[in-house]
Amino acid sequence: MDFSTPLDDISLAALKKDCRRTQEKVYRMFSPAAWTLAVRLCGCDAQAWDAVQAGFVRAFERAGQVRQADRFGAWLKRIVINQVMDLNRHRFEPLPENDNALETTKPFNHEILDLEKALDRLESMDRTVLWLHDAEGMTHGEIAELVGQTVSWSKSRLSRARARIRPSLEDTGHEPVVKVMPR
Amino acid sequence: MNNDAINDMNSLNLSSLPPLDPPPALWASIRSELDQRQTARRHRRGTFSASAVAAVAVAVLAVVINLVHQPNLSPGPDSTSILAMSADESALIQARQVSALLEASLRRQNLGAVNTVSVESLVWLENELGWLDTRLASNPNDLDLWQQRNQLLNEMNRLYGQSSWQAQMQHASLQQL
Repeated sequence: MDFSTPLDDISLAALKKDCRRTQEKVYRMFSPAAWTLAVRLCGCDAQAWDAVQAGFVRAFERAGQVRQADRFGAWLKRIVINQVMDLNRHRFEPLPENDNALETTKPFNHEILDLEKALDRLESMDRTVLWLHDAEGMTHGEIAELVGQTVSWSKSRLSRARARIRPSLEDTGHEPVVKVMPR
Repeated sequence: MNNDAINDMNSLNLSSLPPLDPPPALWASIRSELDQRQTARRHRRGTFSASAVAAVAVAVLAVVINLVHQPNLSPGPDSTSILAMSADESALIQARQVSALLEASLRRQNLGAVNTVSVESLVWLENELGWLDTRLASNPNDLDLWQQRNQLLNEMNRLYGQSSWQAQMQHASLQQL
């Protein structure tokens, strides 16, 4: 199940009444998607835990704001992303002026390189932009709005994140799959 | 081909990564936080209700006291009606008017500073006044209570006036230095 799984009207009504059993049911429905998203964006379980916990608590407390039950998943996804953003906000640094700076920071361990680990080793903002764009299918406009930056900033971050992750994958024989994302 | 299309073609197949299972204890942690927040909300609501009830009670009391103590704003009784009134009634009206005047004077005095010697006396007087006002709320026509009230107000005015005079003297002597 992912964030697109629709929630039924009865469950939404029960959520609005703070029904703990329904909250648990909804948590079971969406927690794998929320957890995967948070871990991919944060790069560590501890931060992902905080983000998912805060995200579900916020979503359950504000369930009254949701008008359409089938939009609950998308709404929850947005909340979890915002929670990760809040956790990471203080760590987000501006882009370095030159590419060399990127290449010299955080050297990869060639023995453990695969896509997942390479992703974890990216800077938090690079990883966030890369994941939101390539895995979640978000547009640069949506990413820019979430992060509070410009569209060109998002494009630039994505380009650098890919440039940084790709050589590591090629070194280990992991060929990045060229894929056209749906718009 | 625009930049977005080029970007899309270069995208990594991140969605091929397997979904992850959340830790088993995560739900317990979320439920615990929800319970805590619910308890805190109930507590806040309870406190708010109690405060609201107290505020309403104070407001009602203030209105009642104000109505009782309000000086007679309507045109004063003419000579014939005064003659028709009993001596007690006219004394009561007079006591209320004096009380209103003393209160107005006290409000002006209240703005000034008070020395520490007078504070103790003033606190005692205010307590007495509060007690008298409570009794007057149930017996608004008790002349004796009104007269006692006037004595208290008079004494408070005197103390405030004395403090104000002393403060002025101190101020003047400091300026001379």
